[in-house]
Amino acid sequence: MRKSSGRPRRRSTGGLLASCGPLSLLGGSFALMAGALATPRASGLMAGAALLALLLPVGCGRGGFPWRRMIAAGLAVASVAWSNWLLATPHSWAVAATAGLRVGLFVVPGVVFAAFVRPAELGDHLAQRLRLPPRPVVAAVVAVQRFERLGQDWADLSDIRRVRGIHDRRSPIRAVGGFAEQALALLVGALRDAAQTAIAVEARGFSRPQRTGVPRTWACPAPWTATDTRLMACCGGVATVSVLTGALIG
Amino acid sequence: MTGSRPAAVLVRGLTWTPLGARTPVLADVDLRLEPGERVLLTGPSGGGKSTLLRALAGVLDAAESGEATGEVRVGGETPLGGGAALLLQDPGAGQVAETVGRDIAFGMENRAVPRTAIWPRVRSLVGRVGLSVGQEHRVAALSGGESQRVGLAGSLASADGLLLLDEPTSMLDPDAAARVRDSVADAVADRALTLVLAEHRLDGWLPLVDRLVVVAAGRMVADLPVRGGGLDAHAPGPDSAADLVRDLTSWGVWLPGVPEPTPWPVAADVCAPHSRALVDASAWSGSRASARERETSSPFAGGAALLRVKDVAVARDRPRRGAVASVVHCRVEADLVAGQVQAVLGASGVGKSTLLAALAGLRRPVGGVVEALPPLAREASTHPHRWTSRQVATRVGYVPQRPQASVIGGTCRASLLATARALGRDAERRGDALMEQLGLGAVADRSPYRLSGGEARRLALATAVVHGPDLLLLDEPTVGQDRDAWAAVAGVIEAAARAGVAVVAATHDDLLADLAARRIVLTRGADA
Repeated sequence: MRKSSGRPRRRSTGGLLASCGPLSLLGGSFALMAGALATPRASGLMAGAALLALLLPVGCGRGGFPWRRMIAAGLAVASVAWSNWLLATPHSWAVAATAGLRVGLFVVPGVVFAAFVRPAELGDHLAQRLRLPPRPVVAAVVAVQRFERLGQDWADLSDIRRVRGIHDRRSPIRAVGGFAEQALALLVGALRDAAQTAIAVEARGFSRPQRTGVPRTWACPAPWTATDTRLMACCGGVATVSVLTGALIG
Repeated sequence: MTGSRPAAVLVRGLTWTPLGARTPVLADVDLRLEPGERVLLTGPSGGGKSTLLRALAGVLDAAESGEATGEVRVGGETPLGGGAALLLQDPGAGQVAETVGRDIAFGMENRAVPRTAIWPRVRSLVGRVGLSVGQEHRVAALSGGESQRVGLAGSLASADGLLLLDEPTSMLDPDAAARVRDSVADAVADRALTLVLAEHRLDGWLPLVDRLVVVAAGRMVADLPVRGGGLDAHAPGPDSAADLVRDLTSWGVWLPGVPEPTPWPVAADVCAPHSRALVDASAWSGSRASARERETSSPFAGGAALLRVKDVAVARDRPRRGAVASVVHCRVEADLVAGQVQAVLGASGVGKSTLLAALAGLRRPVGGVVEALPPLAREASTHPHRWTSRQVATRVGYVPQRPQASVIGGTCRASLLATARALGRDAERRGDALMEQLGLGAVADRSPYRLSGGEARRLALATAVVHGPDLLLLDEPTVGQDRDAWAAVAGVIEAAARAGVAVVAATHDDLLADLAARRIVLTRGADA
């Protein structure tokens, strides 16, 4: 039935992560974070990092993750390492590396996992599996949907400014001024859009469940699959290995 | 729709004044609809039709605050939103989900339709409104016409008692429009829904309705019975038939059987390209030649080819993670010629807007040719996408499909003149003349976001013309226009062509296409 219904399904191409639900992705991130924070020594962190370096590319599959997004994570890790080096007396590379590794161990997979979480699916799971109140969940999903469009809105604004002769890039000062103006226009447009979206959701009965007392239904199920369990097991495994290694090997 | 009962509608003394507005948008409106009645709401652009629909949907103050007096009852209750399904005029604004299927399903989820019933209904609605895209298609990548049909499917899915449609076919080609009318007819066939539909063009809709209600300047000015697909002329007085037609036509209503409007005469010099004025100035400096003499002797009057387009392929949208951008292949070969109007036609979603964006230098073609010829390129590159912003603005005027998008500045006048100001051109006189021609004189100092859909589109046209570009690219310029507004828009387009501008209009409007010297028809072919 599920196949024939033609409803949006999870992307089945690519690696393990692409077919995971949002809750296991979030849960896995938390497991790794807990593991990284609980690992006592650098040896454990290194073991965890080595495992992740092996598993993450497999989980992503080919072309599944835009590795450019790792730049921000890399910067975060580097800045943590550097500030630890700077503040330690005497300056110690070992302290810096341990701190960087610890942060990297949960930031890097967190960034990767987050890329595979689809807002609509997350909403389905939060409301149906975790039984969060539907109204804020639906509102948040719609809001994130609109938010994702900001990129397109920015491009549209750039087009209009270009065709209207005020997309001036000749001097850096004007470019900065133009950028600020465009950002303001984007903000104003987003607020205006939010009002329109409010009309749109209300016009399709967003408040109806609250008014009538009949709870809303969900067009898509929120299944927990074997793949989700496998991901949780992997993340739990990595966390355990790093904690144990850290505890046993000095 | 099973389980739903048609709603009675009662509006009594409804007055709505948005915050900061001097005059009410709706003034003392009274309206009573029996359950299952079908009403066509019409009247001049900017008259208050959309606002009345929002009031019936109970979402009057969801977008802007203001002061409402009077009473609205739907099914005996004050509508709170969600009782009625409302299809918004700007279909893109109504999208609430990521994919087509989920967007259509949204209303059903809120109505607590069980999952097993949702998807078969989504599938049947997709077919009924004639959508050719899949349910997993992202709504952000839909064309204007496709969004309109997704919105309609979503409204039909969530309709419960009252269905409110705001110009549901404005962005559709005639075939798709007929199909949408059929699906609306289907939905109201068993009188399980009360229908209120706002539309300027009555053709095709009259057989579906029982009443015609005319709203002008915020007031209800006529309420006429419709019988057997025609107006019941025996209603008011003795020689009322002719009076009625005259009155309706004067309110800008497009009645079937009444001769089509013709473009208003607009002085060519308010639309003349600036580059031509320069040529003229050097050729005629000191002489007191009449405008007509100048017109006939200008090098542009001869019809110089400005832009050449051949078999161009353009990416429709920016590619997303893991996805390949869909590419529109336009197998056309055309020169855009000064002084000529050309119409780009084709089913919705075929790539008309994308082609226009490529002609405007906003997209780099991934294949084929978009070449600016010497009279247009002048000192700039022959590839429009390499032009600087200034070079684009000097040469191109562009009306985007969502007219509000072209707004820059806090008042209509400021937005209108922003480009001229950036280019250092004095266009105030032309701007005033254009606003007057297009019926925007009264709103010049208003916020451009307070305009009705039709007014916003006319402002976008004035904005594209006022600084005197050589090339005018118009995306659906006549959508949402009443008869008079249509005549004004067409008049400006003709005047621009007469003044030597090359005009390209992407449109579904046959009447506008009739003004064109050439039709470029796009077909869905090797769409990769």
